[in-house]
Amino acid sequence: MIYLASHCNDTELAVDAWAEAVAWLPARVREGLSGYWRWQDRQAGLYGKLLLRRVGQAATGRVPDLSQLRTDTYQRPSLADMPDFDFNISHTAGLVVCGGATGMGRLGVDVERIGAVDITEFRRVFTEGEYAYLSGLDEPAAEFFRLWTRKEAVMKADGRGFYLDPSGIDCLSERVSVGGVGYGVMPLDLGNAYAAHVAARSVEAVCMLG
Amino acid sequence: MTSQANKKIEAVYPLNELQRALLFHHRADPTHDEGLIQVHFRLTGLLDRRRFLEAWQQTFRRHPVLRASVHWENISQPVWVIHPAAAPDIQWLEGAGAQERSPSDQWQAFLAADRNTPLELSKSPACRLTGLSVDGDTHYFAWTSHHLLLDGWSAEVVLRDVLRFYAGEDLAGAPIPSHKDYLRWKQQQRPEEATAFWRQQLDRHRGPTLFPAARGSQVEVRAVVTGALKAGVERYARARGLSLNTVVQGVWACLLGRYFGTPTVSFGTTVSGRPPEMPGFETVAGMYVHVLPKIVDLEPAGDFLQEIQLVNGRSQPYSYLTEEELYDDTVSPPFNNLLTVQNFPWKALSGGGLRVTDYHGDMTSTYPLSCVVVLRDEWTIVLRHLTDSVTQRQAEWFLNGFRQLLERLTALADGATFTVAMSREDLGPPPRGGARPGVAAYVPPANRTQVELVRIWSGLLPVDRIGIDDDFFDLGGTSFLALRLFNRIEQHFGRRISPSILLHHRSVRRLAERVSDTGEADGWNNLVPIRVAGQLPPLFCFHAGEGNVLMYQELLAHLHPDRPVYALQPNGIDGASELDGSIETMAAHYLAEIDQLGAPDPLNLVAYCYSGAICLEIGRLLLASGRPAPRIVGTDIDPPGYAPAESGGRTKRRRGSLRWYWGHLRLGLWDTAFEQFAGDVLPDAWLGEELRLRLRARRLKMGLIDAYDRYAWPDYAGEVLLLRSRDLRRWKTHDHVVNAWQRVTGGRLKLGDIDSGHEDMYRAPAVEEVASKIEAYVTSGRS
Repeated sequence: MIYLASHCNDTELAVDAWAEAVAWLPARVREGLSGYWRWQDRQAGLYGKLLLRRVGQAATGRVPDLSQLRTDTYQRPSLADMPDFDFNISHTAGLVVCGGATGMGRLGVDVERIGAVDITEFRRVFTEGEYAYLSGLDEPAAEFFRLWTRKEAVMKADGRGFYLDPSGIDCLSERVSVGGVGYGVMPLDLGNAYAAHVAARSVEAVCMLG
Repeated sequence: MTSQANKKIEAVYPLNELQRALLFHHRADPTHDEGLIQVHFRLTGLLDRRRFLEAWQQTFRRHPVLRASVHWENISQPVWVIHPAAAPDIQWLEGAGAQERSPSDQWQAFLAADRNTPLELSKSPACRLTGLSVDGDTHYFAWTSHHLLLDGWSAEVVLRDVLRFYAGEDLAGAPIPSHKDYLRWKQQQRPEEATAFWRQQLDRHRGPTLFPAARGSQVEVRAVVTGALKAGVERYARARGLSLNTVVQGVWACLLGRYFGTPTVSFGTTVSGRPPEMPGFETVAGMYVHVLPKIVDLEPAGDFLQEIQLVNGRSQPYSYLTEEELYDDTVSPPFNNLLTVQNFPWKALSGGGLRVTDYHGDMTSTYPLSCVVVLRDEWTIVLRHLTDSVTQRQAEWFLNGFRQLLERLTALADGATFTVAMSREDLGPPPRGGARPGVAAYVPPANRTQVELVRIWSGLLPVDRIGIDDDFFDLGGTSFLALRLFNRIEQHFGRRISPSILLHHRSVRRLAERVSDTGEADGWNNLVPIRVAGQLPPLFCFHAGEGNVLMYQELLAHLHPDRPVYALQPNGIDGASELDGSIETMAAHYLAEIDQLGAPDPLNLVAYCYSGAICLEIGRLLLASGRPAPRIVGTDIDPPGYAPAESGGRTKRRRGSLRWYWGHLRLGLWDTAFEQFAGDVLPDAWLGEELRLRLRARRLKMGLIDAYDRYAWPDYAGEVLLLRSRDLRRWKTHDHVVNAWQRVTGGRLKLGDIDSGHEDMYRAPAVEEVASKIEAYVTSGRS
């Protein structure tokens, strides 16, 4: 079962609320947050950790210890003391999403806010087929974000993220394959303003925490 | 012109300053166009769609501005053009079906999408009309237009006419005055009298009221005032004989005063711009609203609210003067916040069995902070702020403070005076912030690759200034933005690099190493980039007599945020390169580096003390090569023939000669003599670190002075603006300085004054005034 949770991030927290919320974070994580220039990014970082706590508890029955956070050579985060539990966080303007599961291998989550887009700027991230498909649409924006979040979710599930060449991964078909490994991709309903997907070897069972 | 051609265009008008500013914003990002106006409302009553469209068409025939388009490409200056006819159409949205989405949700989704859909200004009509019928009696309607052509006042004018036409009224008998009538009326006014009045007002300010200039998006917070509070304020105003407009201006002034802690505050106020002397002009749609300055003394002798009211009355006859006419290269607005009070009587909009409800007007502002107060059955206070400039907490402080001060007013006995001191008692300290916590110090780019990368980052990231050690993700970067970043890198540098590089090369410095084959080899000798991002022509600031350029750092915060700034430092400052031996060589080297940047002519040059000579020589080089003269702003620049300190004023002996040593030792100048000796005789290895640096600085300074003394000061056929400090004006050398520059420039010297000492010109608070005068001069062009 993949557990998912999201949090709206469109309002700046009051000083007291912020201080209260970051108080329980390990000092190293707190310092990391203070590097962000904009409150939107600082808060996205905070909410990501809050959601991880929630999702971790739902999936494993215990609250993750954030001092165990590590990143691997591909800059992918994991918890050192919970090797069976994998999680993934994604944020975009106004929203943060976290997914997590145990005993299922890696999973990837991606969310983007749908907005105007010049698809020529993204020519190199799509396969020939994908780009031809998007170019043929009168209003490609929504479909662009749908396709892109599918792709990024798969790249994150693979674990190598941007170390993969996105233009080599065809996301038009239902199951997406990377180097011979197949991934299931499921759309997440987070409102009309957002496109979001979760990808894993199996996405049969997904639970959105309220 | 043939009659056929005549039919194509009814009139052409150049854009005024505000319109040009709005056009700039439109072109910068049409999908987040701050000038877009979205007026939307609900129509109740049986609607005949065909008749409603005809009513709009008739209204378009009545108001020429509705048939206008805007043009800026391939012409010398942007214009708006009125076409004889325009064919507006209404797009009626199909209902989504109640199961899928409620009509209200569908409408909100449409409004959100519509707001981010660029308006095609170059096509007539430059607006969109959209409707959604909920049922036979209820309809949503939106009219999306642009502030470049229409002001807020126009919305009601147009809607009223639409409903009158819809009701079958014939308005042919009530023609409206044309824009040409307005221009004729303007010509009959005496702008010099109005300008003198407003300049006198501007002279009253003691320190500008400026929020940090930044980019970011405009968001708003709002509050509503009703019931006892509203009635209490109205009662107080009546009892004191004050207009509500005065009360609101007073409250706003108190808030600004508490926020900035200054004895005076200034803000812009909007006026309708429709002259009461022109009958019927209040029923004309167009762009006539403009912003006039309001300066409020917060330490007045008498009642400050009465004072505000008095000045408001006196300013009324001069309120036709536009920003363009009021400000020039010597005078610029001392504020970047706006107060709009909408207190015109609101009459219900209805006609032909239709009624407008849930009316939502729209406001446009490019200021960091704007306050709109709508005085109707209930009062609405809207604070619109630029997120990177004024934080939400700060905006909320203003909003809460507004309410607190209104409450204080109502608590006063009707005859009692409201004072600024009371406002200080009531308001808590304003929240500070917006600064970046715990982030590495700003380091500017040092070579061309870094400059180009900073430019690319600036186009993508929502921040004002990017240093080469800043982390892409700390600045708001996302993987999605990374894709666009690498696409732009590929286009600019012709190199395809994987976005994964960014995970380990997260700063401009690190990324530049991967992008540039030549590494550090493409650095500059003299040019120091201080801020490279920005659309405006850059400013080049030249070193002073000791070679350093650090004093220009503070200037940056007060210049236009879109203006790149570069400083020029001399060769030899690093102790490695050879010092240029003459002003001519320096000028040639500096100009060569400036030209590598491809900055447009005329160049904008800023000199301080020593560097007036260098700028003059650069001007001479430019003219000799057939290029236009640069705009030179000299701040307390040394005059031709002036011997700067230590150039031998005391002794004319050659430095380092036996007679020189003898003279110095006799006068007890042991340190100077020793340093000279050490520098002349001892090998570098024998000297301590500190002495070596001191000697290097001394060698540089002396070299610069020698070059200055040797400069021939040829006549210069360009203009120079000399900004004089209070010290310069008092010094006995003052007349010599002015006369000498007059002579060299053949009488083309302009003068401006700064209210500070010589040493403090580039420090707060004087630096703001220096920056605003530099901006005014380089923006307005030559006089």
